[in-house]
Amino acid sequence: MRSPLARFVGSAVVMLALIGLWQLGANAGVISPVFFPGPDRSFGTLWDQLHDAEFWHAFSETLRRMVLGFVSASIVGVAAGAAIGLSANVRAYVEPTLELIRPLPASAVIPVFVLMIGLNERMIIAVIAFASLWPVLLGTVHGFKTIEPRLIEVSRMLHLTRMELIFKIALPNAMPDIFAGLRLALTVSLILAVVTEMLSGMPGLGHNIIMAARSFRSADLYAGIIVLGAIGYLTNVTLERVERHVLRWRNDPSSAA
Amino acid sequence: MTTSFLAADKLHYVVGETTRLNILQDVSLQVREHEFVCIVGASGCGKTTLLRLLGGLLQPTQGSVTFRDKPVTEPDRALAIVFQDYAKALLPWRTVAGNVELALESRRVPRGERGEIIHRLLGQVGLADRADAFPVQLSGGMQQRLQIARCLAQSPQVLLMDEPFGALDAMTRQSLQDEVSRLSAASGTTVVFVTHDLEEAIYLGDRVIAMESRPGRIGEVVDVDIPRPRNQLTTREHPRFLELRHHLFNLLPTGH
Amino acid sequence: MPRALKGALLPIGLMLLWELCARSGFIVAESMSNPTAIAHAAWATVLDGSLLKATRETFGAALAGMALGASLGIVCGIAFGLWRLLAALMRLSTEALRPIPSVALIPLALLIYGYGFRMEIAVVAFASFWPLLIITENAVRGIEPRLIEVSRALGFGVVDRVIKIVLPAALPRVFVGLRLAAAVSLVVAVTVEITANPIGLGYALIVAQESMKPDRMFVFLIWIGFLGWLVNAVLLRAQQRWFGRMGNWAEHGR
Repeated sequence: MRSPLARFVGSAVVMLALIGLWQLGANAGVISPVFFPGPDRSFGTLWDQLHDAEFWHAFSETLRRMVLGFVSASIVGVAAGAAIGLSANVRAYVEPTLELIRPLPASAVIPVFVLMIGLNERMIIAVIAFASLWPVLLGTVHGFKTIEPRLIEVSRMLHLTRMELIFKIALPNAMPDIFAGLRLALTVSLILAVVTEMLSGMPGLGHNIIMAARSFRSADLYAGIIVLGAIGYLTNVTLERVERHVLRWRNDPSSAA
Repeated sequence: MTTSFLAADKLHYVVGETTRLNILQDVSLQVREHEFVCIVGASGCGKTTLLRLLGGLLQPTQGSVTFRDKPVTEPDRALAIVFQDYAKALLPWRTVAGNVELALESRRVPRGERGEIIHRLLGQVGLADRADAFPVQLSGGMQQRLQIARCLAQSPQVLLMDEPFGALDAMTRQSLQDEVSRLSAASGTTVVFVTHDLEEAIYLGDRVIAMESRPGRIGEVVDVDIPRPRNQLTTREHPRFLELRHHLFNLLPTGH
Repeated sequence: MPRALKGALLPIGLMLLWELCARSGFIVAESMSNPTAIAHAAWATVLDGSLLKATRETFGAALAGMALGASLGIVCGIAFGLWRLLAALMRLSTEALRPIPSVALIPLALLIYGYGFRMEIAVVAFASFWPLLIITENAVRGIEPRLIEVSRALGFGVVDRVIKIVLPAALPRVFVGLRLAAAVSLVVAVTVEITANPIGLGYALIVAQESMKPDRMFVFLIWIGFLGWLVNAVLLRAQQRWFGRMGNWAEHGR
């Protein structure tokens, strides 16, 4: 079998070949360049945008909203999730309601928020936070409610206080589930940021690409998609790095890929 | 008479509301300080339940458990339990040293003193060089040794062991048997060792309490008057060992 | 208090509170509505057929998109699972495309197809492609190697091997992926309708909001949530029915 380096080089070659095909396809003009700009125009426009202050303004706005909504939702989600997950009694009252909310598409609440708050910045942050809250909350509840019974017995034998049980056993035990919820919330926060920007007309990457589509500026559109993909990738990779470090106790080197 | 050390008096343990299952019936026993007593019985005879009652994790339906004449209504810090499913009793997110430290934290041992104690205990169970490993990286035998180390870190007066080597292969089991024997002799800790393996019980114990099943009752109590220190090869061929084995074999159901 | 009663207490209590606040004038009716008004509006939407029409449109688009995306995902997943070299060579390309949020493609789909079903189907297809690709690839990789050896020993060609061994062995996990994709398809379809496409439940939601009819808006909101729950519940039932006998390894095997 090939070495990891060979595999990486191989897949890079394939990707470049596909981009090359893209360029050939665009040059051939089989599909109108209005819909199908080549990588030269797409990346070229992207390069131009990187030198444009307005682009960076939109970029930072989108990122700011995403991070603000995600972070506030995560804090509330973990705190509330812990409280709910730890108490069987509270869960009996709250879990059925949570299960009702779970299948709701996050974007469906946007009109409600618009009606309540209006089509402005506060609505965007509120929607992003609201939507990102549920994956974190549900993940945290799940993490806190499934504690290995043997560990509970160990904590009884050691006479651990309730606080010690929560911070030394329940919380570390819940971490994998919390991170699963955080990863989902991160994806949701990006999606909702884009959607709310498209709807509200507030400056941001979402607004940029919908305007690009409406004015048939396809190169700008493709460039915007690339940027959004990059944001999705980088934020996810960062979170995964953090997760891998916090959860490093899970990895058995002998079974690592 | 000296005050009793660890005693169970006429224990009854019943579960179920509509169909009541008699797990233990009229179980009484005395554990003497510093002794190594083995409780042996077939699977399902209630010996694990008995151990948990002794440890205070369960409360009897009738009867009482006393430690130094005080009733045991909740887990006592002087009693430590080594569970059979060692992997589930360890904290996977803490290192080997961290797991041992948990017991020291619960005893409120000052931070400065912990390192030395941890190092000593890990040395005693042979894990000194794996102090920074995580449980998932250890073999089954090592994980069980870690659990034993953590229990010893509690500085317990009684070590309650629930079929601790049942999930391990024969060779690991034998080496751990000798280790536990050695550790308890050196520290003077009282050990109550539950097993379904008759030979293991006779090999390790000063006394063997044989239980009958359905419902769980005390069958017979024999003194194991085989000299110490014991040896995996010679002791198991000792005439007294074979005598006891023959004698107790009939108490346990065939194929145990 | 029996568990069922405890669970119902919170939602019922909240609804009563809501009703009270609306009637006492605490909440302004224009933006928030109240349960009784919503119930009336619900009946109206059923009667005038708008609920059914919108549901059919959303379901139609979601189903078509999922059929397209999921089948492509399954085919590629099988290919990647069986031929490691192919998977390795395509790794960078797939990793580059996967992080693109499906909503970012809405303007592109709009540009190419304009308003209507095709654009929505395209976006839904993109969204449902990825979970099936990953899950199918993992499922195929996870097939007991002994089975593949047996198929070789029996002289099966590729097609036979896929149909008789690979697909049945991977099916339970693939079904879990389909359940996931169904939920994703519904969510993405509604999102596309809310954002840009004037058909279906999402659009009905927006129209109700823009015409200041909060009771209608909540009807569609609750209906969307209900549909999401229903689809998942039905598929879960089916999964347990068809694959339950094989044990739960489908969900936990990895």
